[in-house]
Amino acid sequence: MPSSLPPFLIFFLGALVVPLLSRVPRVRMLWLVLIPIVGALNAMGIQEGYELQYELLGYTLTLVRADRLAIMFGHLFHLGAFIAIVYSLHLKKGDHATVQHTSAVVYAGSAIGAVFAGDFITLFVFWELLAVSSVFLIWTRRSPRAVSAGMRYLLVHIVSGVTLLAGAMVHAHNTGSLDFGFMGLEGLAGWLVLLGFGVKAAFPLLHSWLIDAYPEGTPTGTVFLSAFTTKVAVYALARGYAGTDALIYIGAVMACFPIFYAVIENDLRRTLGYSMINQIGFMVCGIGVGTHLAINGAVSHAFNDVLFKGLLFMSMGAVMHMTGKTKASDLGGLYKTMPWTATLCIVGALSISAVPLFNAFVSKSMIMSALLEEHFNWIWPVMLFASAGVVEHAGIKIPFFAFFAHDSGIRTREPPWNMLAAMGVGAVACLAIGVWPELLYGILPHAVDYEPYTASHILTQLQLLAFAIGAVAAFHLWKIYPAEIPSVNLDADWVYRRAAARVVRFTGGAVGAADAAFRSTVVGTVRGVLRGAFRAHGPRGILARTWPAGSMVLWVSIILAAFLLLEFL
Amino acid sequence: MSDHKPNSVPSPWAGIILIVFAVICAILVVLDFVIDRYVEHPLEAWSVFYPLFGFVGISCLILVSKVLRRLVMRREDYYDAE
Repeated sequence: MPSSLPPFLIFFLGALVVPLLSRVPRVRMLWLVLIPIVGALNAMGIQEGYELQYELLGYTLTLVRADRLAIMFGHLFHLGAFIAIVYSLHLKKGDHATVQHTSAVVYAGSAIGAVFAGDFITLFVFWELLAVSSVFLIWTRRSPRAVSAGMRYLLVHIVSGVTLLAGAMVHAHNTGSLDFGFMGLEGLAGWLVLLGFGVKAAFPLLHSWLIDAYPEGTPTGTVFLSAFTTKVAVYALARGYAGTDALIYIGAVMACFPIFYAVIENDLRRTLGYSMINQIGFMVCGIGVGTHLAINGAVSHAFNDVLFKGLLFMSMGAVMHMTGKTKASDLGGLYKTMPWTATLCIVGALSISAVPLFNAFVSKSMIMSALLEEHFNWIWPVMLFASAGVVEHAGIKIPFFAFFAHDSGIRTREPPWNMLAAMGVGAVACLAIGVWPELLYGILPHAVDYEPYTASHILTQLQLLAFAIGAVAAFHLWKIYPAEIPSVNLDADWVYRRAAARVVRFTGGAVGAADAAFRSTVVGTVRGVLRGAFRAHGPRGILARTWPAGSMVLWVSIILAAFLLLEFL
Repeated sequence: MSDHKPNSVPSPWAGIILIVFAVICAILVVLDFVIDRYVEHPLEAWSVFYPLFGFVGISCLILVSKVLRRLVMRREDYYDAE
């Protein structure tokens, strides 16, 4: 008898009770906060190497496989769930609190289930549950845009799951095993599974679900969304594709192209969506390098990203909750009335920018050092450019346009206490890991021998950041910085939102015309047949005429005579 | 357009912040010659590589983004229209 329950079970059981507590909001608050705490205590009892297996249709499936990688992501998701749950405690009936809370807890549980899953079938089940549970965090916003964005989000993720399942089936056919371990790009199975993971990890051209859906989520829902889906994909890539060269280049593209979009994006939560793809790019690149330092860097960057990106999404969620706005063109000057939110947002901005003493400084440096150690001399400057780009959009743009810049005239208040508390926990965690990286080193999959705080490294990072900020400041002063304009920017989702729609409309028209022509031909033929039949069998038809009995006797006599004649011949 | 709205940070403060920032940048450049930097990548061997890279990189980023905006920017209700 193991001492711990499967970690996801705490969340699923907890979610079952949440709807029953809708009439006692205070009890519900307590219950919700207890779920990740009890979950974390339970998960801490799971020893490294523990496995829980079950039999299904002749296959041995592994419901829980606890190795260092899974346990690290388990800790991360418990922490992420705790922060996001505290952040959403204020939700009321009008916010569809029951639906949001229940789906969020199931969603967090699914993420935890996915990282502990030891085989493809279990992984697939949690993979799809992630999609199905999280879409309610978008739909509960109830705007027409949110409803259609949620539907697109769901479709993309279901396809991702089906692709993963197809890959798993091919893999099982080839190897006879459903175990989820290192895959690599050998054969069809490797590619299919990578494609399934790639959709969730927002690989280039497969990324637009994130840009499309995250900004349409509820203020609290998007915080959950930012914590889990893509990080599960990063985990899956780290397990299945460590050291796969293609990921280095995919990661480099991911780190670079979104920063251009982030400069011109007006919706600040969508800017954070682009920023998220940029950060996942660093992780994917690290996984591609595949050395111990690189993998440690990639997964610790995933850990840190949940904290600092969560903090930034929380601060923008707080702004949205209090003002109803997230567009740079509508905001500005909020530091006067939301000083705490502004300060916490700046902590998130400093963290994501990898300023020394903040957490990304540690994890991003590991990835950059690993690139240099392995002599990826062409990729390193690309990633350095992407690092500088982060400062521009997440380090400056987000806090600047929301809280400073032109005074929008909006006067509001600080958000509810629980939002501030959750942001506070996130900010403290960002700083704590930045100051004491050993906190994180202890739970990384490989032993760590890395010192981020050398004089040389601190100096070069500060130089890069300061002059990147200098460039932004100069462009502002010279008034050539792209202004905040209410707009949308076309991205890969244009293909299925516009181009495919047009193709369907056009081909639909052509097919419709062909169909109409075919039908009229068929109907014409049928009418012709009917007319002919009517002519023959109708009231005056030759076959329907009433013949006198005498003529029948005559004909019978003639036939009889013919028979007799033939008989005698 | 938001250009007509007043700045939220009073200009004397903005001026002071800019001056402090410029001083920090200057100190960081001077330190480049004082601290013996650890060099792994050939580009790092250039003096003031990082400040140059940061400034030029972001300048290119912003300028290219302005071109990108001409290509991809549409009205806010673009997708709602059909």
